[in-house]
Amino acid sequence: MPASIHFDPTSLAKYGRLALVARQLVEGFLTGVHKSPYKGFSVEFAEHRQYYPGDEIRHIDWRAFGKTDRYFIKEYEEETNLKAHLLVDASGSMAYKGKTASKFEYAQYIAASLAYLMLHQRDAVGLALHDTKVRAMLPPKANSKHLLQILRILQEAKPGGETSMAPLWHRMADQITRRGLVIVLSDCFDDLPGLVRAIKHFRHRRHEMMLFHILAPEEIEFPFKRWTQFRNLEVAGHKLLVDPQQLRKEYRKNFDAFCKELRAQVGQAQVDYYQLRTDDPVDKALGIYLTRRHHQR
Amino acid sequence: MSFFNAAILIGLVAVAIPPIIHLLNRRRYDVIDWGAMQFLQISEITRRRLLIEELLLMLLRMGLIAILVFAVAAPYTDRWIPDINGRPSRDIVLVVDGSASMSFGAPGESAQKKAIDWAERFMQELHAGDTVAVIVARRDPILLVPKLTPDLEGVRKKLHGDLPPLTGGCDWPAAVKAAQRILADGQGGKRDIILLGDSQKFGLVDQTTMKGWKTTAERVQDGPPPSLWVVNVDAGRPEKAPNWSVKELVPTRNLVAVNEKVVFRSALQLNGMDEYKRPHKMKVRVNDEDVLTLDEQHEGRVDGGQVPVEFSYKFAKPGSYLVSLIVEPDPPEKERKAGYKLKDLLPADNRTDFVIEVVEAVPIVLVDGSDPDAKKRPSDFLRDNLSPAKDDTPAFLVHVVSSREFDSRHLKAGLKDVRGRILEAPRVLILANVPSLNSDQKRIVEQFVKDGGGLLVALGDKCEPESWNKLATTTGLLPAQLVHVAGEDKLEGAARPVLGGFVHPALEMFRNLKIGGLDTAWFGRWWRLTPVKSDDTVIISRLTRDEVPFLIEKKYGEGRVIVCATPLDNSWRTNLTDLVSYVPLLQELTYYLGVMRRGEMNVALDRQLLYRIPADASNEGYQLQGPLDPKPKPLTPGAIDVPEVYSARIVQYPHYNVLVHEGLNEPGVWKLITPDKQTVHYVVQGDLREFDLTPMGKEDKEKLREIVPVSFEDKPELLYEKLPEKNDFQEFWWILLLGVVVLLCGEVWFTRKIVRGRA
Repeated sequence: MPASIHFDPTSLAKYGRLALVARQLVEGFLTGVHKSPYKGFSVEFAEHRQYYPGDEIRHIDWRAFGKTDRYFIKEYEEETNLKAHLLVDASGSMAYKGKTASKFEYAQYIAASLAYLMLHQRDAVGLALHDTKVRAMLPPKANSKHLLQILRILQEAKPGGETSMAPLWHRMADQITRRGLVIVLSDCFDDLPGLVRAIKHFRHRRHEMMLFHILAPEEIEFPFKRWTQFRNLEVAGHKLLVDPQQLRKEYRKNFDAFCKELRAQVGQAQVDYYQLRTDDPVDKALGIYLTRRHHQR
Repeated sequence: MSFFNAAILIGLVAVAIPPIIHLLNRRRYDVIDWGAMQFLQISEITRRRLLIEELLLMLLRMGLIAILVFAVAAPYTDRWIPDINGRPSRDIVLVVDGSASMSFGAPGESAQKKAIDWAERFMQELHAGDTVAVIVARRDPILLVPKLTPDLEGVRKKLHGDLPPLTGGCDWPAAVKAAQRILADGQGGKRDIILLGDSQKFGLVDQTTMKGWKTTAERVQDGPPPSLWVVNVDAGRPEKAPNWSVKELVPTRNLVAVNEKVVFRSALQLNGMDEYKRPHKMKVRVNDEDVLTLDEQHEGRVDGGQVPVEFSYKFAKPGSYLVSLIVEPDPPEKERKAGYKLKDLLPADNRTDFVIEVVEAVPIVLVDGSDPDAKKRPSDFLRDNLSPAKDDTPAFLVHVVSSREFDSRHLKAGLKDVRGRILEAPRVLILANVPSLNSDQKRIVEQFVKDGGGLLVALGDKCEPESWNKLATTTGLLPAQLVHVAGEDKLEGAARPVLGGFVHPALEMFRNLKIGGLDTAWFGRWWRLTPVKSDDTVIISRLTRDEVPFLIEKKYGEGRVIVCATPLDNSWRTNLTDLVSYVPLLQELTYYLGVMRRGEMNVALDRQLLYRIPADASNEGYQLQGPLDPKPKPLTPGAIDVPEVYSARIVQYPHYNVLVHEGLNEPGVWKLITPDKQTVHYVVQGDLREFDLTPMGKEDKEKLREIVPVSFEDKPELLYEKLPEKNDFQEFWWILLLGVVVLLCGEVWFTRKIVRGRA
């Protein structure tokens, strides 16, 4: 087994539900991928240990068996130099909550899980929480205390304020000098050209980018039937009374066009775009992340 | 365009339902905090398109509701809808005159027979699908065939079998209203009401009937009014049709004692003939048994078309007697010689009836106010004249009591006759020269009169004005106040009754009494009376001196009171007691006052039947037989008038109950059968104008046309050809219903289109 960062459950418990969810998610996920193609990557041999029934036979060091006539399992040590930045959108629009968790809660889980996973794999991970302003920013580090800091910040954050990410991302692209992986968790409800330019700015700085486009199913399907007053989550007092049935077609046309355009634009910038619905399991994001890492190797 | 069910149009308010639902939806909305606001912004073109779609859909739905309401309101028009059915089915109500005048005509050729024959021929002309109902027009219409039916054979049978006897008059407007109600349920495109009668003026255009036509015309109806035809089935009736009729029978009195002669008067009304020939037979029946034949009377006497008839009769037993005068102008058909010309073509008016009450003797209590020890008392004089001692069977049974001893026992107990039999309680109370009444006496006298007793107050020198005047002003029992005694008690300057005033039923007989008449009486003194102002008070006779009241009458409760300004004896100087008319005056006044106890038995149409029942007797077990009833029906208190039962109610009084049956609505003889199987007759007098056969003239027809749209047809055989073949109107609800279906499909299609467009 590869060596991993040890998280004290008691200290994790201080960070409440989010920490527990992240741990559960990651450990469950890693157990689930026991037979997955991701095994053995990014790690180097560390030491032997005695074989116990249940260990995979392929990890048995047959050389050692030839010498000692006893079964030993090879254990590996991780080796990484990845610096990842989690950019979490905490704008008002992320507070939308339909029948599932809110988009921000969903982003919290993903961010926490990814941070946990990365640190588990001894990658350095940083966090930037923002709406129009940066609310909190942690530089990438690879120790367990750092995870606790990340979780605390995520835990305490509440979505609010307008979304105007482009200027902010430009600034951040300038600030993050060392090349790394930038993971964006956002609904991207912003001016699309500006947003794309900011993403390209990151790419210009030779950052790898993953864009998790987080959306609620209701935003995609627009299933409302009765007359509804939509109150803007970002601009106080802005509301619209409409018959959703009348508007559905027009809305979905606008929405699909936006998503399609976003996907195309960021694709052109060689940014990995993933659309996540809040009713998708959170570990889907983990899978995406690990697959991408595997392909990078 | 009009509507059969115009009231349904109120449903047009339902047109507001779609906008209301729209507004309600706008008021009742969900609230969602939303992030993706930028995608809700739609273009102006889209917004306009959505608005137009919404508006169109709403208009479509509103139109759908509006057309549905119009369709249900059953619109019709007489203009632009083509007649798609060819000849319309026809709904016809035949209204057959059921009045007495329809019996006019030789045997087998009555107007009613002609009407039935015409109806049969008419029905033969009808087409399949035509429906007919039949009403017999009487005072209350009889629905002979109450619903429109295509079974014309059934209608024919009804016309031949179930027509009621021809009596009384008929209420045409009421019959037309009933016909309109029947037609309201009809489905035919053409609706007709055909009145089959003899076009008699009375019943069609008399004053009362014209009011009825006005209410018929004012009646709000659904749909176009049906065509109204008045068909004269007896158009060939001569203008001066020979007809005999018997006028009302009037007895000299309504109440009579057994073996007392009572005179009945009537007259024969002769129409359509110049010469009076004696009738074949004229007879008197008592309780449906022939008792007198009046063959020898009145030969050749014609006075203004009327021949007076007079007969007298004595009744041997007490009870209620139905006295009928029947004239048969023509011999029976078998006895007629060849070529015999009928004198009378309307037999329905050849009979008249009267009910008279016969009592063993009229019980009287005579209260004498004079000194009980006096040798000669006024009461002796009155008693001797009303009930002579030598008479074993006097017409009046007089019980004398002094005013001091007079109390309630005297009015409640039955009186004993000379043979020791106890007869009924007093009917008449005579207060002769009574100074005053104490409070108890006042109370019992009031109650006695209220219950139907008769009170005769003969004033005298002992009367105390203050006491009597209180009775006039407080209780209203006395119809006059006593002012003072007038006259000098001598012949010179004495007062006499005014002859011209003898029109009162009790005084009528004195009008023609030449010798010893009441007008020859003189009175030396009299009480000057001031009548109490009241609708019930009437001066029935005056004295020549200043025309002061002599006799004043008042109706009080169920009874009557008469005050006489003089004593009815010779205690004051008068020649009255010596006159021939003295005893008749006493008798007539007493009979007149005594008749009220029983209640009226000769009544006008639609009045009540009243029958007094002793308080201790049962109210159950009575039966009533109307003129048209083949047998008696139970008369049940509290019941509703149904074919099998007559309804009645009981009005309770302190000493008796009164059985009341409302609505003696059929002229003729009604028989009340008491629980002990006694028959009490009631005669309902019909309207004699029914026997006036004068037909409607042109002016009458115009007058009627001004009120109701009506067509007159004196040639009934031509009527069928005149009935229009085309529909009066065409319903087009079905077109609207088609429109509803089309709009409904449109609505579904449009809604689906919009929904699909939104998906």
